[in-house]
Amino acid sequence: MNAKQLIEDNNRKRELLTTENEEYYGDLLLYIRLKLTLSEQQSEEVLMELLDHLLDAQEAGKTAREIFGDDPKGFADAIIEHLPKEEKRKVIPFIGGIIADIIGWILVIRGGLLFILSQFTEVEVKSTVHPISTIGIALVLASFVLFTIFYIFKIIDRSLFTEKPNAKKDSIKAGLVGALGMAVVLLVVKFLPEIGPAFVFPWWVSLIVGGILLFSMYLRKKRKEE
Amino acid sequence: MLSTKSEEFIENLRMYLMMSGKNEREIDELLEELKDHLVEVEKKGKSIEDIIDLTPEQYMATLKKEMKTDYKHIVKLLPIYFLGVIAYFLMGPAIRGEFELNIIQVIGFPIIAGFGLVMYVSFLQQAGKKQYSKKKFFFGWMIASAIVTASAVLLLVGSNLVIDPFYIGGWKTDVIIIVICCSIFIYTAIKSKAWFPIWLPAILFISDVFSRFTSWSIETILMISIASYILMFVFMLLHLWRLERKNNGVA
Repeated sequence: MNAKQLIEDNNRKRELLTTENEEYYGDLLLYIRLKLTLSEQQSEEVLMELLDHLLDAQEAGKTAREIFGDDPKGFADAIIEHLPKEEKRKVIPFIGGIIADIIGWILVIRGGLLFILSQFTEVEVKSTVHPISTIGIALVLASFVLFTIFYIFKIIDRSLFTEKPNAKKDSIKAGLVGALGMAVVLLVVKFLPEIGPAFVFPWWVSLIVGGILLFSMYLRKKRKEE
Repeated sequence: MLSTKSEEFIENLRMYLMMSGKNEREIDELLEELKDHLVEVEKKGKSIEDIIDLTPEQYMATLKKEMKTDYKHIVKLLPIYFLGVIAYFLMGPAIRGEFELNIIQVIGFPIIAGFGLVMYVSFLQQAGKKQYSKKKFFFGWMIASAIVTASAVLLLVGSNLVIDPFYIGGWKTDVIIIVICCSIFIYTAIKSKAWFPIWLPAILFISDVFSRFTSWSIETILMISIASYILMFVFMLLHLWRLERKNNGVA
């Protein structure tokens, strides 16, 4: 069974857990899944084994705490220690796929917007691109988004296995990081001059290139599923 | 302790009855009773299907028929909904300095808001009754929202092609509209005791603010908007996860 099927199976089977066992196992599951460097396939296989074991124990009237122990974090860390890391040859295409998807969507929306705007405004719509500045802004934005997502993952990670996590404080922290980060990004965008060569990138080229990129990503996904 | 399946059934039933306009207090009382009953039943190794002779769908429909509809509450909620929807669609043009009105928009907006209400309510009722999975619920909600947004945008842009506006706003009108819309968002946030009616429009209108007040290229504004949407999505997931934990009594 591949990781996707295991996740679907896990979601279905988890419904059979009691609320108490679901809380325990749910935290365990999230804690392991948030360790993004681990092999997804191996992690899901171990999670499924644990779930099957827990379901059997539940039928015998036992709780997760009774079979996995009172220290769920320690138990999870022990499992993580034995899990292999995700292979680099799988990580690179995964991240590359996300980046290609985002660029594809930006190009398609840009093309559509430029076309619509040119129909409604008499002033010529600016379709010149400064690649160096645009890539610079894209990198700053991508770093900001990645940093915020990892920060949120850290917050979730820290609040797992605690009886009363401080939800309000965590939300304020996440909100502040998001707002301050965005302020920094906007300042960079404001003061970054348009440097380097520029070329005209009309709406139809943008639409075609974006469309090809998205279609090839779709084909890649389909081929992977087969 | 209830099984996750029964917990989900209860939450779906709550959503179905709420969306059918039943009294919140009566729903809570009914669900508390059902919960106690289910705990006893599950202790004997049985499930929800064993205690109701009907399918979950039929069972929910029977309860809906038996309970009285809380018309007073509905009448209180409707103006908030209509104001909220109209504020969402007027805020963007006002920020961009393109606020104008034509007769098709004046008639069409309340119709679209009404159509959206019927669609959202029937979707939520169906989701509760047929116990949609989270994935199905998410995509269904996205499709419903996209239909309402597309109809409103079509009305906003399309009507300008066939009819001249009877009113064209200036900067003063823009400021008044923005202040009124912001007040509606704040009022909705206070009423619903949640932050999302404030940060959701803040993120949605970010591109309008930049397109009016800066000379940034379309790519830059697009990239900032997409980054904001990604973060909004992550924050929403964090919020939903917290809510689920809270419902389970963890947080």
